[in-house]
Amino acid sequence: MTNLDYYLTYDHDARSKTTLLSVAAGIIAAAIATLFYDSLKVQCLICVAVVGVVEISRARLYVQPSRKEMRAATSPALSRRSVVWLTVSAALFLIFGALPSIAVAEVNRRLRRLTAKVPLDAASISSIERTIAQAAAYRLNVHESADGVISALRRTAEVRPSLSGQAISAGSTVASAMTVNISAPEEMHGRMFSPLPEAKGATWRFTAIATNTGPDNYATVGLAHQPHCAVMEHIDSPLPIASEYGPAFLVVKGLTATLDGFHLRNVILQDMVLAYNGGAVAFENVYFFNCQFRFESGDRSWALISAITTANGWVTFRER
Amino acid sequence: MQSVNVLPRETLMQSLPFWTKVWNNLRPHAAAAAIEVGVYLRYWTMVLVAHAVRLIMSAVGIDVWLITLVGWMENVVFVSSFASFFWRLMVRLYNETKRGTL
Repeated sequence: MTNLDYYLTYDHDARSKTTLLSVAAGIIAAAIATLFYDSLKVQCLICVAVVGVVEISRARLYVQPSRKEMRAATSPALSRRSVVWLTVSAALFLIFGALPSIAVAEVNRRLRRLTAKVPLDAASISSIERTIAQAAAYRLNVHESADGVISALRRTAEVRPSLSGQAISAGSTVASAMTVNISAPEEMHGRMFSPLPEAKGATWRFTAIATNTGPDNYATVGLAHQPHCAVMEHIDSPLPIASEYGPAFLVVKGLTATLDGFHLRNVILQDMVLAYNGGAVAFENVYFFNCQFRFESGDRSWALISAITTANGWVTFRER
Repeated sequence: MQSVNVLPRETLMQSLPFWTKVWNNLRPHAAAAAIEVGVYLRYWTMVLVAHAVRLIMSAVGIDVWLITLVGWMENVVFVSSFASFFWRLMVRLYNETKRGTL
C-alpha cells in the first residue's frame, strides 16, 4: 500500500488535521490579501490557491507510520463516536441550512408589524428603511411584503405631507433592495428566428442615457428581430429604425442617470444610480439589477416604485 | 481424543457471496468518505452557526464593523473548507487514476 493510499483511506486523523491546517492557512492568506486587494473574489482565489498548495503538499509529503505505530494507533475505521458526530453534523447542517428562509420570514413579520398602523410615524419609517437595507445586505428576498410596505409608505406620504420626503426615501430603499428573476422576458422565450438571420451591415442606434461612458459601460447581448430589439431613445425624439435586426438586450453598467423622458425596451441597468423626477417614461422589459434609486416625491414616483417592487424582474411601466 | 477441523482456505474464500466481497473491498473507502464528509459538515455547520450569530447581532444592533468582520470570516471559512474538499477530491482522483482503478 502506497503512502497516498494509506493517507486517503486509513489515516483519518491526519486528514482531519490537514483540513484544519488548510482552513487556517486559507484564512491567513485571505487576511493578508485584504491588505492588497479590495475585491472579495481575488481574496477568495488566493485562499483557494493556498489551500490547494497545503492539501497537495501534505498528500505528497505524507509518510505512513511504521507497522508498530500503526498497531498502537489502530482504531475501528468508523467508530460509534464518528457515526454520532456525522449524524449530528448532518442534522445541524440541515437545520442551519434553513436559516435564510427563517430570516426572510422574520424580516417579513417585522415589516408587517411595522406597517400595521397606517399612516406611519417617523420612527416606523426609519425602522422600515433600516430593515429593508439589512435584508438587502444579506440578500434576503422581501418581495412578499414589498407591496404592503409601499402602500403604507404611499398612504403616509399622502396623509402626512411632512413625512413625504422620508417616505419616498424609504420607498427608494425598497425599490433598490428588490431581488429579481434573472430569466429573459416571456415574449423572448423560445426560438426567435425561423431561418438564421442575415443582417449584413445593419445599423442600430440608441441615445445614451448617461454620457460619462467608459468602454464597458454599454454592451449589447444577442440579436433580435423587430419589434423585439432593444431600444434606448428620448420619447420626444424617437430614433428611426434603420434595420429589422438589432441587439436583443442593451446592458448599461455603473453610471448615474436620470430616467425622465426615456423610452427603454429590453434594457438592463446594472449598478446604476438612477434618479426619477416624475417625468414621462416608457419602459418595456427594463431590468434593474443592484441599482440605487433617488425618487422625487409625487404620485408618479410611487407608481414607478410599485411597478419595480411588484414586477420581480422585468419592469414594464408607462407614464405620459 | 481431540479432533481438528481442517477446512481448506480456498473453500472459505469461495463461499463468500459476491456482495460481501464487494463490501469488504469498499468498506475502508466508504468509512474514509463518511468520516471526511462528517469533518466538512462540522466546518460548514460552524459557519452557519456564525451566520445565525451575525443575524442576531444585526437584530440587536451591534456595530456594523463587527458584523462585517464576522461576515468576512464566514465567507473565508466557507471558501477554505470547500477548497479543501475540492482539492482532496482532486488528490483522490489523481490517486485512483494513477492506480488505474478509475
